[in-house]
Amino acid sequence: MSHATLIDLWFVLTAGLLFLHIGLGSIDLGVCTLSLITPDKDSETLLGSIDTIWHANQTWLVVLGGTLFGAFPVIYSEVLSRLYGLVIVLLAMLAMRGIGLEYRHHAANPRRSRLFAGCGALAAIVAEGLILGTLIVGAPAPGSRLAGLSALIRPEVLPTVLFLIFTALLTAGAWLLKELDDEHPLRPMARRSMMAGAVGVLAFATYICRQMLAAWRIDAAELHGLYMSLAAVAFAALVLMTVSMQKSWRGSQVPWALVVVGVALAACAGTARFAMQTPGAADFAASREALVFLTWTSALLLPPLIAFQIFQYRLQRRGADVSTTESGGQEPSAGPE
Amino acid sequence: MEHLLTDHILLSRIQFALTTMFHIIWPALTIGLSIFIFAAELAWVKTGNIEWRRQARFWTKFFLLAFAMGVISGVPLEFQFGTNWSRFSVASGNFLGQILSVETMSGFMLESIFLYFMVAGWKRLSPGMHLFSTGMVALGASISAFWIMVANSWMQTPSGGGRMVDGVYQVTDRLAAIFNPDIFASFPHMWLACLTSTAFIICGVSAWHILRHRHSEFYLRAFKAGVAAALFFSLLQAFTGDLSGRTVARYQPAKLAATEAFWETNKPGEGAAWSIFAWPDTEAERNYVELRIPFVLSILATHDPFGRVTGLKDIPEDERPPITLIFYSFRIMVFTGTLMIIVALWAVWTWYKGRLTPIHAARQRKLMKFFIWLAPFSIIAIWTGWIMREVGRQPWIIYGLLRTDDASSPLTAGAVSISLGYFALAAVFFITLFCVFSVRILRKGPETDQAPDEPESGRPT
Repeated sequence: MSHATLIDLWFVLTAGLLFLHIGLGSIDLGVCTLSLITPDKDSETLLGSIDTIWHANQTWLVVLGGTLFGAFPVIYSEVLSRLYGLVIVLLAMLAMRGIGLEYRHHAANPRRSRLFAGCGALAAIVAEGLILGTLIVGAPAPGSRLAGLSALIRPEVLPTVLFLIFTALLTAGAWLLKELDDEHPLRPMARRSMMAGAVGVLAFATYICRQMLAAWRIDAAELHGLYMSLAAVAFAALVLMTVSMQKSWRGSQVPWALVVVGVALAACAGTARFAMQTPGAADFAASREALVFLTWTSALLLPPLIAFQIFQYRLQRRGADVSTTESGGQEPSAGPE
Repeated sequence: MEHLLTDHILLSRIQFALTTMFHIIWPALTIGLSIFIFAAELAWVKTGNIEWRRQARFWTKFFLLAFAMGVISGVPLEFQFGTNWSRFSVASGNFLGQILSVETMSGFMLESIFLYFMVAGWKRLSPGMHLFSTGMVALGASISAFWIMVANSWMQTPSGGGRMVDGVYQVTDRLAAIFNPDIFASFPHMWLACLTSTAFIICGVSAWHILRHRHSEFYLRAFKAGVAAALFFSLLQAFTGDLSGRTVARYQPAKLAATEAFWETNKPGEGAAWSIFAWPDTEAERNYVELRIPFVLSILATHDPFGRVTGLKDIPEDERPPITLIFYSFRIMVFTGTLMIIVALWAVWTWYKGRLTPIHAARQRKLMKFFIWLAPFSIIAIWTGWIMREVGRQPWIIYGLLRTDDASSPLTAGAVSISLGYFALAAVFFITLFCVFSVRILRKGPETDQAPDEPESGRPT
């Protein structure tokens, strides 16, 4: 395979990992955020539903970071060093969320821990939105005094923040519909969250693509075919998501929610890839030999990992109540002691 | 002090050191505990003794706390290569990036996914499948450690290429880069350090409870298993330490000379002496005071009493690492390691004499107190070992190829000061939180671990 083909392949794979990170990670970030607006007795139910999945979901961020470093070391180093302040805030908020989530079982005041988890998750979504938004509208110069925190006062990055918030609402809503009993009082909230999330995700993805086209001076007609195909897939996913809410369907809404997120990210990634088709693109990527090594190792490692994670979700779906009853309040799925 | 506030490279180094020292506690614990839990579960599956199942389930709770800390503290480490060391990331991008990528995919991810089965699968999976899941968690943790050590050892002895083109290291032989000379010594040394320190932590925690007559039988079983592991691994560790020392002598003579505050290269027919204690004067290029044992340094470095050891005076001044810090770090590590072997031998002797029974164990106060103190010191030994390893590589970040001063990101000192302040506060906060919650779990003891319908005895079905 030529270097150019490998760069294309790794662009697609990195976008795929971004999808896994945002799609799966936003389930638990969204559930933590929703726990902020639910009564105390219900917020524990919400957080309990993600106890056993958040480690693996957050690990996709680590895999994404490692892959970006492995495939595009120049982009990795430029983005992280120019947006230093925002990256540190993101890491701090993820840590705050993790501490709140993991340690609430043992805390004397579980309410405070839940607040930690919720606020940390919301702030992490905002920080990540600011990072991605800044990449679209233009990162600050290296060594800037504000270390990338100037994004906080740039209104043009707001659509990306809102896009991630709606993604979290969409996936978390779909997850909770799967996890909660048919008669659970939080189901209407989960349904509203999912539907509002779906509309918001598609609306803001459209706006962000327009932003990218304008910022990088691309003629929309060049990408007409891609956008139309994705719109058709998004429409089909929305229909299936709506139909799957019927009691007779008995299926999960999570896959359809993930398709909607995937379509939105594919539109953004496709636009970005079109903009990057310049002769100097190879300067951002690792050498051909390095990419060949990465391709072989990933071909070997990623499929079983994804298969195991699907198995994990299926097992969770089959008997979410088992771990709660067996753990007696000691293991992560259990309630507070 | 002014230098500390204005030098963003120094601040970035302190930040990386702080976050690494905080992070390394948790992988050390999770690597060791996952293997301990696997061994306990295996004993239960093989013998049907329910006590081993209780051990496995109880220590899993402790494992989870450590694992969560590992996830939380590990993410910033990976991103700091880009945030604070962007020029290093570009220079090493053709090798280090792929290694870290493989590490997250092979080790960390394996551990994270199978952790779910390990924690929530006690009833959903058969004992054999559960044992397999625990084994996968243990394997994932150790694989992760292997790749991290590949990355670090390559920075110590860069191989598989050797040329920098436009500031980027060109790798021509990836296998040679992975299996660089340092990895054969550093990975077993670090892996055994994780197992040894975990064994001493299990013993320390158990000793604390035995002395207070809390859940004595349960903790005595853990204590004995820990003692057996502690002795076995600490003796093996002495051999890998020797291997590590000879690798340093061969490939990083400046590090060896600085670690030993050794100034003059020994002449043919003369052995190099080892200093138990010294106070180096870098200006005068000599030691103010020192207590030396003849020939020992030659023997340690080359296995020959007259083996040649390069002195600091034969190394250019701008290629010498800081001396005092690594001189004492190394000695703290070695003395702690030696003490660990002695105390483990003492415990085995006491056990052999039949004094480690539920009735007699609490009377072994001195022995128990030694173990309680050695629990934190086992982590200090890991820290000091890493200080010697990393500070000893200075002024290089990739040994002999890229200087640390040329590897940083273009950041302001103010930005790094703020992030360093945050990381320092977070480390104190998180470690306090871990200690508070660990004490709660450990005080409650094993009873709370038992599910209402858990059988009292019998083989797993």
